[in-house]
Amino acid sequence: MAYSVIQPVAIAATNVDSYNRSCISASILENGWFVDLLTKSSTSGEAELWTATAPATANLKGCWMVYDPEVVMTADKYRGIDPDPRNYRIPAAQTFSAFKLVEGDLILMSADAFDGVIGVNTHANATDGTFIPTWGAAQSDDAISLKKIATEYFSIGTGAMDTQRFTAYLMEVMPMEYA
Amino acid sequence: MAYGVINPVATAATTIDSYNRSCISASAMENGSVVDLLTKSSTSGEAELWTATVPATANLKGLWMVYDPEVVWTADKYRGLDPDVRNYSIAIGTTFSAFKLIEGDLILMSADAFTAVKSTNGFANGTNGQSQMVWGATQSNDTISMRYMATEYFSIGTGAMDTQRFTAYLMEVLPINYA
Repeated sequence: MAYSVIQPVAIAATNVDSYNRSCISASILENGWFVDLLTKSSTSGEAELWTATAPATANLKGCWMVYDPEVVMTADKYRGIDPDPRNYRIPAAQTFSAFKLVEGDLILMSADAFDGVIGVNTHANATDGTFIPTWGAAQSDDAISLKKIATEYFSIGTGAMDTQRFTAYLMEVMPMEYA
Repeated sequence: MAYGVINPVATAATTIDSYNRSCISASAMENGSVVDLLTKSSTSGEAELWTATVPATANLKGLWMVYDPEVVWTADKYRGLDPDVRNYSIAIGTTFSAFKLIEGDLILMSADAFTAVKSTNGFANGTNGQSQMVWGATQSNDTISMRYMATEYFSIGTGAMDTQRFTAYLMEVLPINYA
């Protein structure tokens, strides 16, 4: 199974330190997923970490996006051997990074980063109970929403012929309740 | 005719790279104009450019402001000879820069950068079908809006006696639906 891959093309978090946080979660996560960061960890030794949870109805407006370096673990022993970023995800209880989504941010996200099929959908919205951006025909009210700007590709160096790129979508974070 | 002149006194776009975009438009523009950036250009060779359009009702919350260096053309041949920034406008099909308007931004804008007359109006609002902010007595709902802060001046080196400054208004970008 291919896990999601993202590239922040132009995001406010590149310039604003406070839009970046270190997190931990009880769930397995992938890059490009939405999380709520509502509390800091209460576990000893984790004072600097925020607890990432699945977005809930009351907190869909202020979601953060998971974005961690894709250094893949092979055979549960070796890191950095596998060059394919699609094999990277974040195990439960492992520290990772997330950035705050700000309107105008542009993010290139692989097709695997979304729940459902794009079809004719133009928006991907934060949805109650799921980490995964969910395709929709329009922007949802009271929730972080991404608008599809273009279809592009990620190129990867797998050494294979003809399969070294995979589909990605350039997404823009919309102003709240823009639609 | 004098075109709009602006000075971004304190804007988020100064610090945040993602709040700055390169654009192109099928309409003539001037500094201080507000535009929608809804799609990227589909013209060959313009992949990095956003297509700037006149604000429309459905998209008044996320406007961007035109702001390009005022290097004036003279006789369609010479650039930089004319020191009067009021003579600068952006021709159709010319690449220009725009920045995202964020609440709290302070922008000094010449009287020519607005539509309608200031009079006692205390606000300027993004308006359907208008490429300039439009003076109004109150903040409009569901649109980018600015609050008048002070009357100031731009000083210019024209060499003329007594006419080397012109009126400008210090404006603050308001939170959406603040009033």
